Amino acid sequence: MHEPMHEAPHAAPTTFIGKYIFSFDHKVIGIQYLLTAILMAVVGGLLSLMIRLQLQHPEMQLLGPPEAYLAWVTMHGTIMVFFVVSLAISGFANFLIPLQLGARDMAYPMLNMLSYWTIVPSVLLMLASFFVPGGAAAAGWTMYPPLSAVPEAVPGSGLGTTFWLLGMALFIASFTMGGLNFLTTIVNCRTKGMTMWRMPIAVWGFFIATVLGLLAFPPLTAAALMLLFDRHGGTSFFVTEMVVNDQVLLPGAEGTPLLFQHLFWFLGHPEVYVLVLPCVLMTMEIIPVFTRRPMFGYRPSVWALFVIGFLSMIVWGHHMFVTGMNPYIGEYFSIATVIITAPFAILGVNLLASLWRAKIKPAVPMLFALAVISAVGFGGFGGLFLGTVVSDIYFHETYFVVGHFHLMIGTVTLLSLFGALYFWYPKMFGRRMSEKLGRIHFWFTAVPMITIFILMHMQGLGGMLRRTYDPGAYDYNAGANMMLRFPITAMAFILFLAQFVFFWNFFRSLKNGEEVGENPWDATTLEWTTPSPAGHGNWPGALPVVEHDPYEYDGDDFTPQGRVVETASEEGGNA
Amino acid sequence: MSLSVQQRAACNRTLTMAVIVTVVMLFTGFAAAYLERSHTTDVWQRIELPSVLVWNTGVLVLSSVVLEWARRRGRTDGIAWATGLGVLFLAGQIWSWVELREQGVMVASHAHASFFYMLSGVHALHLIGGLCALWAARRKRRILPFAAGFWHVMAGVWIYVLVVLTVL
Repeated sequence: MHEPMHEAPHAAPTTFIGKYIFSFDHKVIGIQYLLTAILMAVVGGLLSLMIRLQLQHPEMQLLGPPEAYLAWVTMHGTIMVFFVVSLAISGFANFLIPLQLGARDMAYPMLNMLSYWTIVPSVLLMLASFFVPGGAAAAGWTMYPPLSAVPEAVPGSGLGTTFWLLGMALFIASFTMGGLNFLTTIVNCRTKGMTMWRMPIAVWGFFIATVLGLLAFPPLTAAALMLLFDRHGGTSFFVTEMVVNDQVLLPGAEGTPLLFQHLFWFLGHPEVYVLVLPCVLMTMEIIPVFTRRPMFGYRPSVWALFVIGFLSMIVWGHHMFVTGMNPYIGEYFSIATVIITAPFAILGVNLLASLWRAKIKPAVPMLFALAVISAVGFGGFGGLFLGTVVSDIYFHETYFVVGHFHLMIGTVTLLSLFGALYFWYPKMFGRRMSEKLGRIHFWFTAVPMITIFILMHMQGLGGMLRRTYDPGAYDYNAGANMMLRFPITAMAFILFLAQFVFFWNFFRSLKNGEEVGENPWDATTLEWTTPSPAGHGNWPGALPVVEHDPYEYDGDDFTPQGRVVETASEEGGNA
Repeated sequence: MSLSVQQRAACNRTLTMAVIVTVVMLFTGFAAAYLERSHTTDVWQRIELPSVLVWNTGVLVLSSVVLEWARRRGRTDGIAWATGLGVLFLAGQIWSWVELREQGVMVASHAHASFFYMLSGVHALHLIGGLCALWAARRKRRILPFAAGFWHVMAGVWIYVLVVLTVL
């Protein structure tokens, strides 16, 4: 049962702190999430530059001993996955769900505020872990034991890993609070006429991602708790006796590290879709606006989403083909993985057919959308090789894997998020970002990003191993692998520098951007029926009533999905 | 707070369902780990679970039954009784830990003991959450159905934990 949320579930804030710091307003919380994500993106980006510098000049020992290199890699992965892409998606979900569904706010604004303020200590713990004795965690973002379970294993396995685990515990708590809110709002707080099948497709993305997250995070919580017991309680869930130099490190321990990998990837694989699906669907949301045509295949795409979501829960083993698993199980995981290609192809057809013979308006958000389509294509092809056991056994632990997952959960997501930011910026701040600077940012972001990771696929084909801090130490890397090293590093720097154009554009436009009205893009969905930026309670008068499907475009003509009926007798205004 | 009563109830229902699914997935994760661990070790040593757990399980089930009766009849004293029985259950759990400790069975003694301490501990934490919800429901009657739903599920989860620890 759903019904319109006629009044905001909280009073309008009166103080600065209530309005901007401990705000209950979903729009402010969304922007807080986005700003935190941008801040962490700078940290994560700097780490990636340090990684590239180390690989480029291993003789300089820029980062200190080899273990330090692993710590930077670990923190780069952790920050980018959980504190950049996840947080940015939470930001957009917070901002868009009530606005696109015609609700005054989230169902539980207080919970929403707590969700953001749980992330803050989590971020601080992660950042602080660089400065504890031994440095940050170094077991990879996957935190495999024994490096994560035995505090003496490497320097980062001490306090750094403890901080990491505490930070993740807070992250999971925050994600759960946010997810419960998203789910409840989507299910129960849609406005009149907004049936599930009329929801903008981005909301479907947030919905599926939230369901996946709520199902997949608890087993990781279980694994993290067992890991804490192993580290601090002397248990042996994941650790074995470990004989090093004829010395038994943990006598009597009889656990199995593989167990952790299963529990981790039971989260880890759905997590990939938690990141990718909302991003791809936000891109889908943008495309009809600039092709000025209805979306191709809305319903099949949503059904495909359900299938992808279900399949993502049962394919985790394809991350573990080389762990010595039973070949029959490997074959099952392989087949299940390759089956995901079918529903993903439906999304691909949607993306491509939406462009077919369209008069595309090449605004900046649309440019990013086009780049996302190519990144999904390149990334998806790599997935076929990694999802198949026979080829994965060769590619595993090489740069082929690095290139693949960076294309999917790095490039696809970040390009989508940039596109979404350029697109919804006017609704957030009432001004437009500069198109000219946007174009410069686009070309110097999309081209290096996609190229870097395609080149990494090639290095992987050449056998270059992941996690080595000095690739030159191996003779087989001497040819093409070493030749590709410099272009990748150079492009990583270009990519990073290009982001300053974005920062300049983002912050300058807050004051100097062109002011816009309600609907600067001539778009149909509900968020464009309220002033930019929207005030407390989202609509100044009554809530809009939905009468149409979300994407009724016909060239420059369009039918808004809903409209605000001012004559309605409902009590609505409380702005 | 100005959502309509029906809307608030609908939101609470969705929220409770989602919380329950999350909790169930947590314990499913633990059970999967238990299954894997108990079947891949050559010698799976079981500890003998303290006999107080049998009585204790009865207390929790009774608490659930009393709560359901109170919810249907709208009896505040029933909620108080159910809450009291819940506290008694927690005390019983602590007693079982003390008993194990006296036998010299610590958290790191055997993998089976580790699982017992961890699972009963995590369950107890969730139960404390349930107790808070019941306490709040004494005043705010409209959250009672959801607090009760969660409480019943937690009783079910405890029985599930016991089955996992004794049968698998």
